[in-house]
Amino acid sequence: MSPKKVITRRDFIRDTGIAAMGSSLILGKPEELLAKPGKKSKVILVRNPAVLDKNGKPQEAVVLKMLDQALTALTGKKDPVVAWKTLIKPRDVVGIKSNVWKYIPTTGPVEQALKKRVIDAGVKPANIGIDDRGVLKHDVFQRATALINARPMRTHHWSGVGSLIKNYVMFVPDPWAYHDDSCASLGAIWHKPVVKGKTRLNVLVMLTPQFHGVGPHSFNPKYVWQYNGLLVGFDPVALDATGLRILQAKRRAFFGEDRPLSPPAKHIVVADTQYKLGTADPNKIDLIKLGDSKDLLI
Amino acid sequence: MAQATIEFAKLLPAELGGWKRSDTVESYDSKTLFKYINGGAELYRSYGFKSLIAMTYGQPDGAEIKVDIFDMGHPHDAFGVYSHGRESSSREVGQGSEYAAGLLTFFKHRYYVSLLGYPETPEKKKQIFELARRIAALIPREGALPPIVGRLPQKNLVPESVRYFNHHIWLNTHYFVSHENLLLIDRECAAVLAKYADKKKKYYLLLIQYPTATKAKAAQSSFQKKYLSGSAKGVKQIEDGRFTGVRRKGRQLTVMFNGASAQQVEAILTQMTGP
Repeated sequence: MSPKKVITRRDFIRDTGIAAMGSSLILGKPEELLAKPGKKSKVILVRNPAVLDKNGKPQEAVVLKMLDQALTALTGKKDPVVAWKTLIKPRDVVGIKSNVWKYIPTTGPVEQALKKRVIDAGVKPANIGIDDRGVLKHDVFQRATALINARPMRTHHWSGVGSLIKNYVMFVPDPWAYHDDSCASLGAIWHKPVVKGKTRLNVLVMLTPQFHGVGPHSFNPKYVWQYNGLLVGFDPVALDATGLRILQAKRRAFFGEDRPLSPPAKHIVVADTQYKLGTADPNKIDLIKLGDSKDLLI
Repeated sequence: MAQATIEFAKLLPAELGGWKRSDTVESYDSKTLFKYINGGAELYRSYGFKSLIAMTYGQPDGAEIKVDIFDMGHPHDAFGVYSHGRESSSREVGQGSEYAAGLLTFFKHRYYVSLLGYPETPEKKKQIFELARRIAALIPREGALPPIVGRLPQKNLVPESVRYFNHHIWLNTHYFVSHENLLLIDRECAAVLAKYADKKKKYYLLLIQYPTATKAKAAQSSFQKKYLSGSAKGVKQIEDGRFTGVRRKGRQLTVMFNGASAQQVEAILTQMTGP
């Protein structure tokens, strides 16, 4: 693709040009335009309406159950702990990269459910760290042999969406250096030694996603909804692309028209086409849906 | 004359209706704002943000209301930030306010204020409005709106759709034009976008005031070349069957999107800029 391509509203309407650069994801084009042969990335979508209590707080026991469903489906192992042992070894030093954005964080219950299963896989608690903005100074993250990447999806002023790919921006000392061109080059971070090849699992938290982000703090409760889901898999691009499709479907349902994200979530497509971190093509994603199917949006 | 800084932290009550203010009142400037609101900081910085004080009013059960008072430095920018986020507007608090699902925002003079009680409860809502009125009362006077806002035609205008900005990315938030800054909108410009609804379906007007006629001319040329396919007349039917047009008068560009016909676009542009 040409990074210099000027995309206008007319391209969006016309449907040419942007399809060639794989932008069905960022602008909501038909999936069939991107059909390609090849191996598919497995993405597990698990939903449970009991995961949030009446105050909207995630319940750790339900989160754990959802994660177990996802991991067994992902690995083909019947026992969730056995499934985790295919990802994490007792000698691993594990950093759980979280996200602390105060309005929609990864949440403690999700962090603790992940930590529990890492311990169950045999890792000593002293060799497990949970952090977001302090990862560059965190002892465990500096020693980490394995990373688990877990964050919520939400619209974002500068990158279109806060995504799994974007979640590694705290592994560089100069996050602002990635702001240009809708943060298109965020995928480059995944090739830096501090993280390269270490990610064993990605969890895109879709419990209460945000589909529109105007207003103070880029947060408005009017545009947050209870989706009660987790997207789990190995391919961060496939997970982000799937989460983005759900957000776009919600935007269409809410606004009654196609409203392209602004800025577009270009970094997800570029993570596929330029940085080769996975696939953004829905036709190369094997989406497995578990649990509640009401208002699935995908 | 510049208005003196208001010491909100000293003037607001330590307790109000059983809600206690946090011991710590945080303050941020343009260099540190990202530590508080991360990616969202760019919105305020693009509007010339000066400083923020943030505090919390809470109850023993953990319920809390976050209060953020942004000093935007100028009334135009305070209005701009407010206009960016609203989907409705009333005059209940300050010069304009909006409440939805636990979030109240308002602006008055150079201040933009956000009060968030999430998840929403009836008690929190009541307290949010009480706090907001107290804050508004500490701001002694109202500010003027950007003059370009006053140039919008009033007929068929959807009032809550008026957005004032001077960064091209905020245009795209409300009406996607292009990822590239085709209209050369920057901090030296004053731009306003508004939606109009009449019998012939909705359309949009974008007015941009540039610092010089030369820059306005360059923006017109860029837009005509890259969006209107070089249309010499400055009006073009685009792929959805609707019409877009641009017209310049001195330092100001007027762009109309989503017109029903070339005649309608030309008539409105002529009305705005003269024959």
